[in-house]
Amino acid sequence: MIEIKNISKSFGEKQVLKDISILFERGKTNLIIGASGSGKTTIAKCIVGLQQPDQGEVIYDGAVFSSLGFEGKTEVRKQLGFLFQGSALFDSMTVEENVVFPLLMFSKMSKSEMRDRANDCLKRVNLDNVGKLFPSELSGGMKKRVGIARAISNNPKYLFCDEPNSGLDPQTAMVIDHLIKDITEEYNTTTIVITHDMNSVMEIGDMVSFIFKGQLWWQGSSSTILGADNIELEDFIFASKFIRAAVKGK
Amino acid sequence: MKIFYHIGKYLLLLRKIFRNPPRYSIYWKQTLKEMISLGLGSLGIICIVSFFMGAVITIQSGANMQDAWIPLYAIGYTVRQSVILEFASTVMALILAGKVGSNIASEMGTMRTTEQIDALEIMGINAASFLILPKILGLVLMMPFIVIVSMFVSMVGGWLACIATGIVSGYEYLYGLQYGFDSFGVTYSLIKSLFFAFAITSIPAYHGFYVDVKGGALEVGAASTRAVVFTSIMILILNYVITQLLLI
Ligand SMILES: Nc1ncnc2c1ncn2[C@@H]1O[C@H](COP(=O)(O)OP(=O)(O)OP(=O)(O)O)[C@@H](O)[C@H]1O
Ligand SMILES: [Mg+2]
Repeated sequence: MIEIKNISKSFGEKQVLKDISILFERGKTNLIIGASGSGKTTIAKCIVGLQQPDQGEVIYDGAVFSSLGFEGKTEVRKQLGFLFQGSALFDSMTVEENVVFPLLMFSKMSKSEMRDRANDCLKRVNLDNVGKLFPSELSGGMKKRVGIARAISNNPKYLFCDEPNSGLDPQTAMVIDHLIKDITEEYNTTTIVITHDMNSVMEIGDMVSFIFKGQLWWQGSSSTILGADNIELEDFIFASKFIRAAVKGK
Repeated sequence: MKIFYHIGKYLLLLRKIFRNPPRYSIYWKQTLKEMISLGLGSLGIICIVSFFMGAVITIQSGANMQDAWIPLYAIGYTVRQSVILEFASTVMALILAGKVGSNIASEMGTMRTTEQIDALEIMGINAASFLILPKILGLVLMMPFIVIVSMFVSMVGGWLACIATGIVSGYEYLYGLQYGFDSFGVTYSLIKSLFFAFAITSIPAYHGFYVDVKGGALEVGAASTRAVVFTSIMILILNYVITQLLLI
């Protein structure tokens, strides 16, 4: 479980996050949705400590992150899987080495166990026979999937995915969405998924937080989102007039 | 005033590098890798530069010593002194600052702008230590070897120049090389080179590690240029300070 309380963040003059409080429950896929530039990635970075929030606190299973010492923070981070929006794969390592890396650093597995685990993770994201390639030899969508494989390889307790299926075809996107949901349920992880894909929202949105101009604008689940009475959310969901007409009849 | 800000930040980075390092087994492997890529990888250019330096110093001193009062072996002597005392350490360090320095700065800078450093930090790894310490250790360990190779190749270059130009006989050149030899010169050069190796790896690493991400690839290029300039200046300052401390 991760809780953020009254998080605010500005870059220079520009306030990006305004007083955001959200509770992300364990064993559920918690979605953060919102328009491009609304501050979704910044929320995730504030939670993991890559950005320092100006105000507010982040609480990991009862422990206030900012009050933990170096050791404490490292302990939390060892249990954290993070997929970056731009994948952030290590250029100097092969795909397999990328996925093995968290295991190499923190697990007590043998070499062959690590390799098996890496190939397992790669299979789960629909990648076969790419272990020996370098990230520069992959397509954008393949990089994303390797990033997911790396994020889940060490069985994280907290899983962050920043736009896991942007750049993927609809079918693969669906596979990835369900992979994230399965992992969340299987290992009871606290999962936070950032997305602006409505398919994902409907498929795996246990809890959905809609961010609008840096504020928490609406909260609910995939079952309540279509009926929500909120102009900005409606504009976000029904970008297409046709779909709006089909669902809302107006 | 900005210079003090940078010096402070650089010192803090050094502290971060030597504090809380991750697993040693992994470090050792990385260090070996860097010894090969930074050290052995530079030998080619070091050999070429040293060879021609040695040859040219020989011809230069030969051309300037056409006076009957100066014995011809003085040419070999001059070559040895300049190569051992300055060329093999200081000039090679300046060349490495260009080659290795820009390489390290752009590698770190790219890793920063593509969030690879964030990815390490987020896993609970001390990225500064993990990425930079093996580079520092790798080059510091290889530097004495590079300097010795440079000394040797320069003198060979000089010898071949003697034979090719006939400015002095090979025998007299070799006699000059050995004339009044004091091994402290080599020690002095090797001591200097260790400090240079530290500067060549840590200063560019600083520039790359803290590259301004807003500038993207352009800023990485600029950081790499800055890294080479600052490292070169630092080498010259260190050269002066160490020389004064060791020789006066
Ligand atoms: N390091 C930074 N320095 C300055 N401004 C930043 C920085 N990071 C983000 N911003 C600004 O904060 C705002 C929110 O950015 P953020 O990356 O959180 O958006 P996002 O919701 O993730 O968008 P997208 O869906 O396009 O990824 C943007 O306007 C951006 O310009
Ligand atoms: Mg984003």
